[in-house]
Amino acid sequence: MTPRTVRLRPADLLAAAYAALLYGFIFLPVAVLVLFSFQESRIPVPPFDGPSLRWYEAMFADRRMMEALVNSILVALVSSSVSLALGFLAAYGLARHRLPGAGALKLILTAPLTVSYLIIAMGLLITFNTLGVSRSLLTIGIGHVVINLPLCFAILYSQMGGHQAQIERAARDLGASEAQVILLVAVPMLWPALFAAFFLAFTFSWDEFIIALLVSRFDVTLPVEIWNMLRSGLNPQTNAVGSFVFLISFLFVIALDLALFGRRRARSRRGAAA
Amino acid sequence: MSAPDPGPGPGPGPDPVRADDPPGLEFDRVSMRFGAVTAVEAVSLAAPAGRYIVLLGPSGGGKTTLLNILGGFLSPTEGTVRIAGRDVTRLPPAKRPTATVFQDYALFPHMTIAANVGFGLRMRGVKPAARAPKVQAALEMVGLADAAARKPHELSGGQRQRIALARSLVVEPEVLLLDEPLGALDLKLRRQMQEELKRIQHRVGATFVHVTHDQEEAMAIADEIVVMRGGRIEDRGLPERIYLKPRTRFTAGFMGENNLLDARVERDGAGWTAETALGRFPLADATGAEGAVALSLRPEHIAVEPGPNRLPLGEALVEEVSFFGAFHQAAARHEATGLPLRLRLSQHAETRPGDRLALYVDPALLAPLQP
Repeated sequence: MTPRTVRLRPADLLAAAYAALLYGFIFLPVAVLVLFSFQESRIPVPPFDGPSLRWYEAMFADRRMMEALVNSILVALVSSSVSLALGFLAAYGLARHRLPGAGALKLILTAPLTVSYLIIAMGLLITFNTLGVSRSLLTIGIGHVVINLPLCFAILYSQMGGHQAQIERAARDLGASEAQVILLVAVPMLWPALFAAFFLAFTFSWDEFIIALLVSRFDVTLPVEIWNMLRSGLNPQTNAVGSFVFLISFLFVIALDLALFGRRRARSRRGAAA
Repeated sequence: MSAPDPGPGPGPGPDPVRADDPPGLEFDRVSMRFGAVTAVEAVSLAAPAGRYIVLLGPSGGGKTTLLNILGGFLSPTEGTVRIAGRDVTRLPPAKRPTATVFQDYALFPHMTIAANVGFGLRMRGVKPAARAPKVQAALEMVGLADAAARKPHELSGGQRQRIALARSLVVEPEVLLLDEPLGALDLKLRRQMQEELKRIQHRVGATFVHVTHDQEEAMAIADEIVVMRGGRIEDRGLPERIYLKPRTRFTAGFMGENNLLDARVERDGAGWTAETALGRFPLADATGAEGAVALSLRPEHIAVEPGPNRLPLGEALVEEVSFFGAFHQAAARHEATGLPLRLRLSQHAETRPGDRLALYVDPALLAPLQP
């Protein structure tokens, strides 16, 4: 085989430039945010005079910030778990049983995906006020279930195919009760999709802002706390917090990618080796 | 078109179903309708326990629907299903003495082979220590004793099929249902599994109900073949009887290669006579097939030399010859009438296209068909 020579044509250069511009456009703001979180002085603007970890120190020493962090994790964990459980049950019911008006039910379940968070937040706020429910972490969690349940439902429903239905029939044929079919067969078969749905829901809850702002009061989540900070002007600590939030989201996206595609990659590699 | 209604109880004809055999399974006027579509129409079928029954027919014939009704996956619109004399019509699959081998095997992908095979016992509350020897015995029966620790995706199609079989047998069902179990296997493996299925059925003694559209498979394994068409039972009986003396034109055409001759059958003293384009032939028994009917004339029943009891059919011009290993198959045209005929010639035949052959038949081998 002759060695392939790389010959750059103008079209290739143009394509490379376009790609660089595109990724730059997407990631430059994040890069700037992260860079100036390591700033030494009090103002996060050029010139860069770091690197320094003093603003990260300040962030971890900030009691309100840490409370918000714990709140965020709590809300994300609980609301994602609830969304996942409800989404799974809804998907299982609609995929495995013939229900009257199943089409309409599916539509209504996924409809919140198309509504803006601001509208959802306003609706929740009005509802909570009317019902006399005071704003708290619980109301934020409810809000996040509203946005994440349709997502979990859509992901899980798309993964419940006819082949799995046949395997569940086999379990029933061998004497499994309905609960055993779900716990021993349906859930384990779906676990990559369950993982993916959970991580996605967690990430969305983790950096959701509008709903958290409108339906919270004294206990707030991290994005709301950052917003509070921003109102008193820019300083490198906001950059540090922002970078931290970004890091967590980034880790979850990596985990999501591994859960969804890691197995497939491993399998195709095994298949290629065989 | 009037298909013969076999009516309740054992099917028509001379096939032996002894009354003193223990009852195995029984369909009593079972119908299944999906909206306006009737998948199974008033089927009555009774078979004693311990038989290997094959439901045979083209797709859409109702055989899989009947199997699903027996397994409890479908609830019939009308009629009663009994297993070992007990009415199971309204029981869910888990409560029936049946187990199913699914067409796509439906193994649990996340469990080991041992866990797959032991699943039914686990659901019956059998402790792990008591499960292990039974699982091992079932795996040995299907010849995969060393696969216990592996996962389904590590096995070949044929091996998965055996695991599905072991998984169903380990719960000791009274009736084992097999839904086109060999459909996904290559021909050689399929023939091998047929023998194995029959051996296993003899060993465990359960009733096997096997759905297929492969008539060779049906003949090779069945104690009794039930031919289904359009949601009804078209014919049922021993494989030899179904093949040699098919009752209807449909069965004669569906089971193997055949030549169907239009005939006029009339009562003639003690017997019957068939008037065909190829000549007049005496028939020993043509009850229910009088008038304008068809005769089944198997390719292997057409001889190319005279012999005792053989009557001449005239001459035919050979158009094509294909070699099948054990025999030659030839397409020929009857000289006097222009009728196309399929012939089976010997393994060593040196007949070539363009040759002329004088044909003979023993009329005892002709089978008159109900329309």
